[in-house]
Amino acid sequence: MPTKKKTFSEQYADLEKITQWFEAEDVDLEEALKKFEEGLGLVKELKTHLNGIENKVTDIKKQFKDVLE
Amino acid sequence: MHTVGVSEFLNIANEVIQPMRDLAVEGEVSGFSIRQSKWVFFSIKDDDAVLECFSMAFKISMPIEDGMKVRVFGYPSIYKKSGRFRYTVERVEPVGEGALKKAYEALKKKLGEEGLFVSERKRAIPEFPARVGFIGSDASAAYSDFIRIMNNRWSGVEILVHDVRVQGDSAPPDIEKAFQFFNKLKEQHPDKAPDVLVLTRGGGSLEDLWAFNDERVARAVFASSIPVVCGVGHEKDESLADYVADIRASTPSNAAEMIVPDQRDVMDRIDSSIGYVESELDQSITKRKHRINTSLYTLEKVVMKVLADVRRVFQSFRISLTHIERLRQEKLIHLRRNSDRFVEKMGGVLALRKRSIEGNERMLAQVNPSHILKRGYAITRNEQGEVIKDAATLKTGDSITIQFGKGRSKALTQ
Repeated sequence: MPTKKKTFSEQYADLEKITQWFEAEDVDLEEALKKFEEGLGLVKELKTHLNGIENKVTDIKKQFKDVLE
Repeated sequence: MHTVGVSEFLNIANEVIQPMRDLAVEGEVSGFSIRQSKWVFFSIKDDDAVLECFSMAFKISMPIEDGMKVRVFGYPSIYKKSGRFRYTVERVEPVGEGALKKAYEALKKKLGEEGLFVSERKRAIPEFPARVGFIGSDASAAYSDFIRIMNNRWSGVEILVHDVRVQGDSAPPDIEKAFQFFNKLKEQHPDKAPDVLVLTRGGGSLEDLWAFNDERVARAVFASSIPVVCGVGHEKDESLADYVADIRASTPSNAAEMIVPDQRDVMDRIDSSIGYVESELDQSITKRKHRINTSLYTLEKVVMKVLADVRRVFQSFRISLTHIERLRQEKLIHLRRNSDRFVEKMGGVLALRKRSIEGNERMLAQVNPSHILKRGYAITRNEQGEVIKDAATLKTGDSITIQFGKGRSKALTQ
């Protein structure tokens, strides 16, 4: 089953979790390297989101005829 | 002249006057009262005249009090049972800044007492909303300001625009419907529904902004299950919708600022997050390096100490060995010297002994029985092998053995 792409918000929360993980006293070095790499991946995706995607304006009258009576 | 009954006359009269619906009447309220929470009675007057008004409580959307200047919409009629002329009010709105303010204050007090403004109710909006519902006029400066600021600050948001009238009589029900739409959308398609709603309008006079002080709008904001940001008018303006909303923005642009963060700030936050992670990782590595170095140093110290100990032991062992070797040499010399002397001494002793042995040997040879036997003597032994020295010990027929100088022979005695 393909995993649904995470939203910006979820990815940002993941990055924050990694940051918090590093705040712990003694971190396992191997795990730390893994988390760091994961963090770099997240940063790349977050920046792509910020740099590349434009806002989309939708007129609900055209889009949601079923909800509008 | 045509004659009719009272009832019929009033019917005819009402038919004539009721079509005067196009006229709204302005005047100052007096004698305002509500009976049985249903019927509303008051008069409006000017300097010269009084008009009695009647209405139903649910039709009056604003709090009214005596002295307030209002505009009433409805129709005139004669109440047949009393024959009194009165104006049936369908809708009432305040007139002039003073009245508007009074109405505003009165409604604000009422809604406040009901708890529509309590801060405990205010909900937080998501930090990075994916969808935003816009309730306002899509042809307004407020709309373009909002979209422009949204685009300047953030990306990837879907803005669902619900165009509504923002002033005039149809504005409040329009806005109410828009809220209902978005809340219904949330129920039916939660994945498509906005995370936050923005209710907005550009600046204008108090009358222009009046829809946002309407009780229906205030209640629609209050009832929304989706958090609401309200940005109406200019910074100095305030509206009841502002007070009810979860977040109050001063202008449409400010509403956009409240809804999404500035991507440059977020970019900085992301950079500093990963920077922090990197420096922590660095520190962690340095700490471990330091620990390894300390361990190495300790280990080295231990090894050096052991080595020194071994060396010392070895040294003293070598000294002992030299000492032992010297002792051994000394002993060896001593031994050699002693042994020489011993050999020397022993040589003398041995020669002496040899001579003495040779003497004894000779002597022994002389006494050796075999030598005697050789000379013709014989030894006689009984059956037990005992030498017979006395013939009396023998009986006739005893078996004896006779040993000669050479060989032996057995015999029987006679």
